[in-house]
Amino acid sequence: MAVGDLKTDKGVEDLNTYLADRSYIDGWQPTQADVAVLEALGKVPTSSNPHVLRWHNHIKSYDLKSLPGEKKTPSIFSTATAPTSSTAKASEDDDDLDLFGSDEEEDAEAAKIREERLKAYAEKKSKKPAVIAKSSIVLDVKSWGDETDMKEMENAVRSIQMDGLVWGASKLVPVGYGINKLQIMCVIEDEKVSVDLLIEQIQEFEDLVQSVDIASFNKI
Amino acid sequence: MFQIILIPECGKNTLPIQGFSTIIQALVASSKCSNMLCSEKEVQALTQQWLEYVTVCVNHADLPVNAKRVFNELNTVLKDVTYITGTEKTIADVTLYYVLHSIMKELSGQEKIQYIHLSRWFDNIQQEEKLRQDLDLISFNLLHIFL
Repeated sequence: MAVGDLKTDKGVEDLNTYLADRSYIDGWQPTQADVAVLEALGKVPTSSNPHVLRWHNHIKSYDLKSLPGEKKTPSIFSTATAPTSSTAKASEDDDDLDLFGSDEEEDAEAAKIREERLKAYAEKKSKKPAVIAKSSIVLDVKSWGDETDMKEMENAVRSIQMDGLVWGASKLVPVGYGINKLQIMCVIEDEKVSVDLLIEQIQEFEDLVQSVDIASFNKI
Repeated sequence: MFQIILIPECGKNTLPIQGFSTIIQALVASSKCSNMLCSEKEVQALTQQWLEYVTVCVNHADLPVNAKRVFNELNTVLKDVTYITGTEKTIADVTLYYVLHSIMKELSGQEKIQYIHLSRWFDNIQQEEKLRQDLDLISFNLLHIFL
């Protein structure tokens, strides 16, 4: 038989069954194995696990440090670090004796391990910071004509402020006939900033801006 | 059978020691294993009480009816304690072991399960070779199958 994690109710119940026909964890007298399990148990068992309670009270009556033996938990006690190997070993050992119980125990153990892994995975997932989707956009802002003050237009565009919007570098690109267009880069957080809304806002500077196009749109 | 016994060390004692419990205690006190009589007064009292119990009840456990009652009583007591008087092995455990051995030997696996606490206690006591002497080791190995 195997005893599960002593921090769980199931583990304590296993221990209760284990101690039903044993006075001590290992052998016939108190040893450090008892101390190890006592410490692993941590709390005082409830009366719903009478065997554990009896054993607990008994071991408590000793001077724990003076007990003989090496302080290690016997192999039937699966700890969080090596649950699979110890159960496999225990069931192998018991094969010739324990004809009835082992399958069920293994299943329960396997289910428990799976649960633990799922929990660990969920925990890991929740700790990982959510990726903020961002896009880098280059906008072509076209002016009405060669008389438009490009500097003023750029300032107007840059005056637009939104949560999640960062303006980047800009340059003037000649279109022809002395007319320039403003190419300006910006980085937006996809969830917070709508590109359409941004373009609309730029186009609201009707005196300066004729049209706005998206020159490039890249996901970062 | 032990009705009167004289203990060498108590030679100057004019009164002979009488009675099962008293004799056992006197023998233990004068033996090398005097720690089997605990120094705590409460445990000593319990030990005496259990020795009396052996004479009054367990001695008659050769009848199945009495045996059942004795087993039930002992099983109930041993539910909460590791040794009959609590946390220390005393002469009461040893005495009970010898008295119960012949009866325990006859128990079936099912009965051993029924008196699981008694079985656990008995199994623990019988492991000491010095104590077991030439008595058979009673097997409790397969108990966990029935549990």
